[in-house]
Amino acid sequence: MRRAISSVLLGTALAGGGGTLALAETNVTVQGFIRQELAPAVTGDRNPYNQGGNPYNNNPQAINTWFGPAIGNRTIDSSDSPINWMATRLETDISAQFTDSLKGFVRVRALYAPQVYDEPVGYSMFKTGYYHGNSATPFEIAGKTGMADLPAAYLDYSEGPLWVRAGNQQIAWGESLFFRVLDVPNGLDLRRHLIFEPVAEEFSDKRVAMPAVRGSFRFGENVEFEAFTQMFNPSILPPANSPYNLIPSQFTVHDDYRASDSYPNFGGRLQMHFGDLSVQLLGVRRKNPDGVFQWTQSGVNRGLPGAGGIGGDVLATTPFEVSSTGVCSAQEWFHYAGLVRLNGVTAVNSAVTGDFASAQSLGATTVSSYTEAAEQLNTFFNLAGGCMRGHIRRSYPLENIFGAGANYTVTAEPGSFLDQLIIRGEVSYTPNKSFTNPSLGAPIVRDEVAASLNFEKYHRFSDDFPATYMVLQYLYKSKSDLFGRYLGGFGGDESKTPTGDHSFHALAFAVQQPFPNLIWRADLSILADLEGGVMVQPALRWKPSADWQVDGYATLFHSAENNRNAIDTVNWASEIGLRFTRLF
Amino acid sequence: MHIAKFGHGFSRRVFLERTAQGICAAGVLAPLWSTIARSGDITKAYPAELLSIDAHTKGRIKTGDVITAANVDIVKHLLDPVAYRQVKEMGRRFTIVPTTTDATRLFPHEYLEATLRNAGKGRLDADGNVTTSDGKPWIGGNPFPDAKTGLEVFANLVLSWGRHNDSVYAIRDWDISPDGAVSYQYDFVWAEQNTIGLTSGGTPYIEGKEDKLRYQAVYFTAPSDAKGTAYLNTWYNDQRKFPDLIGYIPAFKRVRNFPTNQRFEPLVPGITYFLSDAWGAGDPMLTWGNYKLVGTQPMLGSQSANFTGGRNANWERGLHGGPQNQTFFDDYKELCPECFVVECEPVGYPRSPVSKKRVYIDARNMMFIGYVTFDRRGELWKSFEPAFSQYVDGNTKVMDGKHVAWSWTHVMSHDIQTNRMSRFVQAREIVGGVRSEYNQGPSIYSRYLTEQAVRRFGT
Repeated sequence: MRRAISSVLLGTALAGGGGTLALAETNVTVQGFIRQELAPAVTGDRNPYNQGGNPYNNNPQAINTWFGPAIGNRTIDSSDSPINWMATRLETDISAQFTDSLKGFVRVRALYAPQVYDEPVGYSMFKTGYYHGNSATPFEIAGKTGMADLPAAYLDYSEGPLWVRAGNQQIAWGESLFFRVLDVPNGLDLRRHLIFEPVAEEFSDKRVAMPAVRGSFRFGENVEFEAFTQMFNPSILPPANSPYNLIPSQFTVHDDYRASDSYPNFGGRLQMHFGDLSVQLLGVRRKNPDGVFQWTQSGVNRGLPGAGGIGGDVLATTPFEVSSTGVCSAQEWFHYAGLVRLNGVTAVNSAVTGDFASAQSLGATTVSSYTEAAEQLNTFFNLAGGCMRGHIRRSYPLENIFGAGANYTVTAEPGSFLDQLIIRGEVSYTPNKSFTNPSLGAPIVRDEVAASLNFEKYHRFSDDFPATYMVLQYLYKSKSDLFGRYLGGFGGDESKTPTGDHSFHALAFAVQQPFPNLIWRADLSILADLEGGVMVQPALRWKPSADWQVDGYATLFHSAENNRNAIDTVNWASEIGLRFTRLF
Repeated sequence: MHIAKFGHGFSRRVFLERTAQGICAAGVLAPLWSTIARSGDITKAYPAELLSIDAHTKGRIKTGDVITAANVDIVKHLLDPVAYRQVKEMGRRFTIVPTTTDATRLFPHEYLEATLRNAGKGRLDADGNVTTSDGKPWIGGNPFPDAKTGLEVFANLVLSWGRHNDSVYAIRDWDISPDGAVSYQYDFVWAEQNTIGLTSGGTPYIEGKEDKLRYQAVYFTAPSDAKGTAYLNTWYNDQRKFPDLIGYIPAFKRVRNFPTNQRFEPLVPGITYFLSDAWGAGDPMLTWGNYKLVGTQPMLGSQSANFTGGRNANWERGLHGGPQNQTFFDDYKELCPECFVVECEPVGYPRSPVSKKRVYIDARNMMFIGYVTFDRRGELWKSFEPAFSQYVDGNTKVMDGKHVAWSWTHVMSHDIQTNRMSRFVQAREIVGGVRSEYNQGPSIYSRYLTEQAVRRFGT
């Protein structure tokens, strides 16, 4: 029931000291929705980062080892999953107004996502071991097929120009849509349907809410200062072999983040208005929620079958273990290195030197060419009985981000296309930012600049239809791509090592056309990576009544498959999305 | 006692002559405003045929009668075309109540005082903006209680919408589909605070904000998919300028600037009214143009007896009519002796779907009692029909400070081209615990009318 369910007389006047806390009436409201979500695939492509989608499954490769030619073969069965995602979602909002100045809000979110995705190995949809065993955030319970959490649970206090919010909350800054130039306080939770909801919803379901104290103070009408401190939490990646997994499943990620590692991110933002011009300046000190990856010791003592079972103790001190679900040929090694923007040759060197120099006792050496690396890899895969699994560690370096943004509303001839055009610009500068090294060795540290330029316009093209909303955005990043991957690892593939890119450029264009009375709305969103990838998402929303909403959309990808564009990473995932929502 | 020598048809001839000359001049037997200023009563300004429906219809309709399809033709000339159609064809009905002759029951107390105090001081400057006679921003009350032109009539509407210094309206809205079913239901807050033209507090201006006219915000509190949707307008005193507009849409989770000239769009699905429709004057006055007085006439308007607080704890009201007997609110209309019918065109909005609006404004308090718009083909499109009342119902009384409140009670917004009806009431309280209130002072600004408030409310 979405009415206020009660007006509760809290109690008697509380007298104390020189004042009295007056009688308070609490108005409690419960609202929410239940939604069925379904996303069937529209192509036969499978997620290559999962065991079942590996193109080398039962696809023997001719390999050269130090001991001569051989065959490398993954003996894992491929899967065929017509459905990427199916889930039932319940969200309930509970609001309580205690006084004019004090209110509380709690959102309960619960999902049941049955494992309709076909995968030859076991997987979990949600389990992430940051908190109390399987959960990714402090206010979450997660299992193999279900999760429930509190994405919001806070108290709000406002009095005059002061506003303070304390509790579990998201913090969204900046005004660019989808491009997170200034939207830096929170990481993203990518477990629920990755980022394949309707684009118009942006990251509202994705930003990781964490306990925080956030406050702002207005200085007059045109200046506001806002500051926060919030427990750090990593961006939450889909678990290995789950439908939208992003990390090749031949590798084990040692994500050692635990509650005890919690760190208070903090930041401040100054917003100012000068007529048609609005300006914001911000600074944030945070742990990078995306993290950086590097080789780590496997800790698995399992000998090399091809060498009489010896070497297990040494392998445990290297990033490798003997495993049939690992990498089984140099071709596969380099193919995946290209997919995840790594360098297959330097990755060999960093895996056999430094902390992992013990690998040299097994005969491993540094290499100087693709051929040398391939031969050495194939030799060890062969000695391992076919395949070896790699082990990587995810860590979260500290960084400082400085940003600025401005938006300006153009005034031109009434009714002209330029009139009321909103131009937004945002730029951020992160000195000494750490990136995953394409060698998986020590992180690369560089200064990064990210900038976006947006043009946003509502324009009425006809008398019969409401105004069309259009936004054109451009994104520039100096050292990493849309997903934060270091550009130096771009351009490699099965046959060659990466050449790297100098900068990242993307364009986005979105149109929303509501129909009369807003009962129907048609959307079209396009994201183009200028290195040759495009995502197109047409969408239709139908809201026939207060209680029901139906969303239908298609998220379609096409890329040059050159491992130089961000779309390559999800090029397999074209799908239809359907959502049936009942509000209460 | 009324002067008998002014028989039936006298006032009609007077109105026709004034309309032909294109001038407003409230009052038939005597100037209305000076009559009100002397006694607070309008009786001496009008002949009997304009003060009583009984006299006006020669007894065919009596005070207390219910107007239905059976008798609406008798009062067809007193209704706007949409209201007539609603009664004639869709089962709408309303009850006739006595004409309010005591002008103090048609205003908030302080607003009437300010109108009296400042009568004659309003001017239109060279740009068309309202100033005092010494060129300062307006100082409260109707600037043109004896308006002579359509633009002056409109200035009375625009400069103070709710006629309190500040108002928070807790609004419950129902949207009726053509089959007569309730398709959507929303609760939202409408908050407005004037920065000039203040009628109490010792100063007519909020210091430092003399260049503005008002702040105004809309906050949706229910249902859950609309909750958090919010828009904040900052209006300038210069009526040639568009307001600044920021908004929060739940999907974006962020407060963002929005273009301000899209004022002809529904805010949420199913609703038939636009920002432009608010108070019959939802846009800055000079962004519209070609103001023309097209008529002066008596009307049936919902100007009294419409507060239901004594019968319904949340100030909601009975329903009737339409395919499922729930399309229309029960309401009460009185014979309003003299209304100015003003038309204007959206000259500042070349892409507006509206070609013109026609607004019916009661000369007694210069408040609109009827409003219809026409599409670009010139076809009748929508009606936005308000109702007002002193907030007294039996023993139940709502105060706006020291005095009984006067405010709007309900609105019916009917898109007759699609036959969708949006109807909403000013409720005592809505989901989220927000209550209607008036003249609360500066706290309204912090609570509702800042970007910080929009962010706090939405995120």
